[in-house]
Amino acid sequence: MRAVPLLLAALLAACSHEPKPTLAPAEGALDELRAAVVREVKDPQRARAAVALVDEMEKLVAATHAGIRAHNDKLKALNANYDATAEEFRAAFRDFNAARDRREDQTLELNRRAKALLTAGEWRELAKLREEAIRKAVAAGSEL
Amino acid sequence: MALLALYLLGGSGTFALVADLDHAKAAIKAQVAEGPRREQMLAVVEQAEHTTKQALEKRKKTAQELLGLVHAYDAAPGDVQALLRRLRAETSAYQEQLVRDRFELKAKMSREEWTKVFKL
Repeated sequence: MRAVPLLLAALLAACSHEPKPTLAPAEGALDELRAAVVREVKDPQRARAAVALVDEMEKLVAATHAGIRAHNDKLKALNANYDATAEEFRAAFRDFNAARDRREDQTLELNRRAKALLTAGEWRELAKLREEAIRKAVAAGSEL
Repeated sequence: MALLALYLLGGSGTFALVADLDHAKAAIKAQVAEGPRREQMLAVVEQAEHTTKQALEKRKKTAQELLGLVHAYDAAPGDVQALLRRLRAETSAYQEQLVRDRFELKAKMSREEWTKVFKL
């Protein structure tokens, strides 16, 4: 499903340039994604499960953006401090990397579950709108 | 895919540091008197810019490969994990180099200069 690559893009994009308070700009893309899942997955039970994966994805994206904002604030404060040590920077990056690794692992697990749930044909159909969804979600809270 | 790859470039957690260094060149020129010391500071900032450029190019390539696999319905989980490990290792190396660049710059600046250039 296109939800998971969308999430991975957001998770990998660790820069919060002009962070926005919510994922509001991505809400439309996420709703379109849910609608596409319901449209393409004819079996209601699998469709419900796939929509639930989108919901999980949305929560993960929101948590990711919040984590990135906090990390950026911490790093900026450290850099402004003339007395900050290299070890403090390394600790900040270790914390960031640990959180990022957890989220990427969660994302890949969502990806695995989505593939297990969908047929190859459904996957391809949903992938057609993937780039647009990615662009919207990433722009919502994480920019270069 | 090119657009997607651009989004991935910043996934190193270095944005705040890179943004500070990005504006440092102009700030150093404004705050530090012209001379050899200022030239040394600017050279370190350019070195940090080079570090970032190199890292982002490498990251873009790896991230494109990774996303290609994630998009593929029949990708082997082992292949995805291998690329993810590579991406993480590249990111850690870049973070470490950027920290070294930051402290090399700091060694050339007084507390007062640093405070003026990197004020919050």
